Amino acid sequence: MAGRGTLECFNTRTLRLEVKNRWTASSATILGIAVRNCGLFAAGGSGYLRLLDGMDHGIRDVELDCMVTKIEIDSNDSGCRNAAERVFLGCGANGISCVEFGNSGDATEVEQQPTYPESLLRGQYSDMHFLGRFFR
Amino acid sequence: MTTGKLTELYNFGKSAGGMGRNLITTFRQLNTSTLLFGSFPAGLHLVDLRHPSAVVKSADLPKAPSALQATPLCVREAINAPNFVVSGRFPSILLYDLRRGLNTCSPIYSGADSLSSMTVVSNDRVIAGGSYRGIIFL
Repeated sequence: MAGRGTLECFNTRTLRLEVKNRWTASSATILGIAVRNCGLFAAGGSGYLRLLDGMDHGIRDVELDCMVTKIEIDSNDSGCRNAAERVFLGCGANGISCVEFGNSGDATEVEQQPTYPESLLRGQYSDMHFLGRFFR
Repeated sequence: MTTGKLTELYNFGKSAGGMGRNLITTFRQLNTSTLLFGSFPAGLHLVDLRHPSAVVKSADLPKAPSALQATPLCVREAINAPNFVVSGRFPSILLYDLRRGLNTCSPIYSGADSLSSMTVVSNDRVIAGGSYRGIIFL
């Protein structure tokens, strides 16, 4: 017999346990959860912060390599309802960590090199250099 | 805004004769004037922040006779209702109505070993996370 993580949904109106997910992917206790980004953030002794789509499906994992005891969501300055960009994590005696989330569009924008207006001379040089490979 | 000012809301040392047998395990501000905190081994306490020198109400969490403790670990207030839920080192979620005090609660049995964190999803749904004592097949 051993403990393992569990997520449970309770209906406080009917006083019933509605959904139970024993989260078999993890053998660690879930110590912090928060609802945001149309899903659920869960973290615990497993060392992972997991974003779940609903109650059952983990759609994103962030390896933290420490035990998370508390989760706090940022104040959501962007004005987007139900969206989290930063998740603050209390990591026991290790201190506080912050995980920043963004969609894939943001990621590609960050990876793009900044563009500057080029001089005609530079453009000509590039063309010459490029075409020179074919006309040697 | 005044920063850096420390106000002592409650001190177990004074009421318990300084024995240090109680440990605050969770707290939550339910509204502008009400602070609720839980303590080891099984305490639940309400503080009126307008008169923060004393605990207004205090009660033990219900626990099975065989259980050594029923330590509260998480308190969350309901949305638009004077209710709050308590979870901890016991296999149920406890639903309290603030208007009825701390002595009456409605338990929702889960069977978990311990539920250490909760989040309120909607008016009538709470998701809790913790650990389940089950069998692991290797």
